[in-house]
Amino acid sequence: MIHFSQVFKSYRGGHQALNGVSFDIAAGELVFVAGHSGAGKSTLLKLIAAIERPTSGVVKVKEQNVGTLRASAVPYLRRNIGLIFQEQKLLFDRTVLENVQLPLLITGSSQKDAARRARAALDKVGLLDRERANPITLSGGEQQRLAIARAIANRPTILLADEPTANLDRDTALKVMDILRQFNQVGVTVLISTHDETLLHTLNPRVLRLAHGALVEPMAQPGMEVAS
Amino acid sequence: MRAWLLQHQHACNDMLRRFRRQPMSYVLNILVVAVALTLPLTGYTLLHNLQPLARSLATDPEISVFMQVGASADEVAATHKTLRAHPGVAQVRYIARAEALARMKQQGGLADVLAVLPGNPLPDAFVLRIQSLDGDTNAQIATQVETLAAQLRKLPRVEHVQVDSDWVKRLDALLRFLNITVLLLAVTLGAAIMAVVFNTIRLQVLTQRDEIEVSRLFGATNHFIRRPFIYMGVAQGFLGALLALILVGFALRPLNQSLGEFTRLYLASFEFHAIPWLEMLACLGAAALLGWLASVLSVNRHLAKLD
Repeated sequence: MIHFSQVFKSYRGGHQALNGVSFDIAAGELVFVAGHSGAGKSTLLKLIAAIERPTSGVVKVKEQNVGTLRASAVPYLRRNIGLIFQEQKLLFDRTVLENVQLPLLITGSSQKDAARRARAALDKVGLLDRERANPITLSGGEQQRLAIARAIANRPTILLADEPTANLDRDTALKVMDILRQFNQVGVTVLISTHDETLLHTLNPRVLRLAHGALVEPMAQPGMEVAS
Repeated sequence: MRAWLLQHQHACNDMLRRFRRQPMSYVLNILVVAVALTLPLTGYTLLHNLQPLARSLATDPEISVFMQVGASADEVAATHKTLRAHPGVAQVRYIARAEALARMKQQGGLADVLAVLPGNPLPDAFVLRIQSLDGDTNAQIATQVETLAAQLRKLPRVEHVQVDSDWVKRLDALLRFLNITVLLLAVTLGAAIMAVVFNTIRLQVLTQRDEIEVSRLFGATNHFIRRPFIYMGVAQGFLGALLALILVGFALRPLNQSLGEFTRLYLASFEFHAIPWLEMLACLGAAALLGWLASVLSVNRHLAKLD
């Protein structure tokens, strides 16, 4: 499903975000990307979503090479990917329901169908009763659940969550993780970046650990296919 | 096809949502477009009414042929016969000098002056209606009339030949000048409309930056993002032109009232009418096209900056 081979990524100004990262993730896996701030976690997720392109190496997502993908093909790749951000990127001039409808309308659903599927997604994250609310009135945990509902509304095959629990208290963070795990259990490939070590100990998942842009402790978790 | 229609329906809904969010801003923009269009549209409407009038005057000119005062009845009759036989003359109306004097006494308010004259100072005259002439412009028609007049001046005992070609030429030149002025005005104000729409869309793109970014992250194509902005540009051009046409329609009423009073003094009736429906539609289409062009240019330029 996701293939990284000797991936290097440097930004303008010379900052080296990833240094020869290689790994494979099979369909339906739940994988955590761990590491301190600046380790390259967000860059790794951005490469999968084709928000960034690798400087060198091969990134393949669903057999499509992100490095050589035409700009016009990027939107169609992203329609297979649900994105959850630490800062959520919610639209505060729209209602909760309209936020979740957006990805569905982008992919050509009718207004009626988009509303139906958005309500189903809100129901899954427990926010159906807040569909008419403005996202700004939601708590931090609710906003994150709304972001998850928006990410899964389109039934993506890959779910990428960048520090989804960073601003949440312990209980709310575990609830959010639980929701993400539920989606993984129905076959969605889930990648979650985090710097919260206690979460990793609690959930005991497969972990890709990054330090200074390179994978470390490649054999830290059982079943991990790391070739860094 | 259904997906394509759904995308356009979504773009339309999105445009209306944005309009509802800031109605005054959009209404004012539409008003600016309307005011910018009203001026050339008014000019065009006036020209549209004046040009056929001028053309009819030019294509149906009259020539007055005045005989010498001392011309005998036989000489006048011979000239009458010659004029009727002339291929360039469609109709000849003879006005005897006595008849002319009587008319002058009745209409001109000069009865007292004429009464003290020893005799009739007026000559026998002929008013000629000219055969329909071929010609594209009033000026060409006037030239042909001048040629005919030159031939008539050579007839025996003819004192003076008077044609209307000079003022027809002047009117034609004036109308051509006004045509060019209206055209230049339309081009200048068309550019102004484009600038207004371009700037509106630029501000829209900047204020919707977050929404554009999120839409892209969830797989929106550039077409999807551009469409509501383009709809907005087209709507601004179209509605601005519609409002301008309504304003011109209202402006014609007081204009016709004062024109009516003026033309009654000359025992004539003339009033301005709105331009035909097809031309109105063409005007709406052209304004919508300008809105489309400006919004496409603006959204492409500013989306590229957001990349």
